[in-house]
Amino acid sequence: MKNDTVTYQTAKDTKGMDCFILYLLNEDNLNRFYAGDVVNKQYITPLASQYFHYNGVLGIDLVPICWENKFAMPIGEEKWVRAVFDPDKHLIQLHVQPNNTGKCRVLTLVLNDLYGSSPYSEPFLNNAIRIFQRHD
Amino acid sequence: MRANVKLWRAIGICIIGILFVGCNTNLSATKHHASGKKNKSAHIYMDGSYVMPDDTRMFKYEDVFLNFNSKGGKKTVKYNQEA
Repeated sequence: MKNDTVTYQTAKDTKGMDCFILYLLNEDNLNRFYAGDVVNKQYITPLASQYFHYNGVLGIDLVPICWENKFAMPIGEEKWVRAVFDPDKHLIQLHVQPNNTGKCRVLTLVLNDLYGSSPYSEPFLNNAIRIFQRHD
Repeated sequence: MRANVKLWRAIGICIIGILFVGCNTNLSATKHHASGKKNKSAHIYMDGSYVMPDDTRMFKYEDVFLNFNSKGGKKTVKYNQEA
């Protein structure tokens, strides 16, 4: 299997580090999440939490699990992606299983971070990765 | 006479406001387009108006796309901040 390592950079955070940004967790955007998607639930509102719960969106609390050196979890409604988080190296490995379903699959993985002095209008930045898989 | 002065002053403020908003919109569009071109070579598709073939979800802002064929595989994303 080919192992592509990519770095996405569009903005600077408050420490001058490159980061990618996305304002996804606004309540106006909730209907863009589907069952099997994964979000960091640390900063979401009660309304968002309720929406995610009833729509099968998996909320994870990244702060406690980031204390571990490395951890893995199956994600997606059919558990078709295995995500391996490596906080020390700032890497997320995504292992995608073969698609025999006869239809395309898509999954959204959203992280976020808090920036008190962010130059943007919102208190935190969201990082999102969208995984798309074609079918035969 | 005084009413005319107030009217022209209001029209002037409106024109300046429209010009200001227009300039900012152009700057934002240019920035997004530039970053999108840069990342296409890295197999990340950057286009805020991208729509999935089987999925009508569309994100308003920039997004990161990782595309896999039906055989699956492994890809690694590196991020530059504490998650």
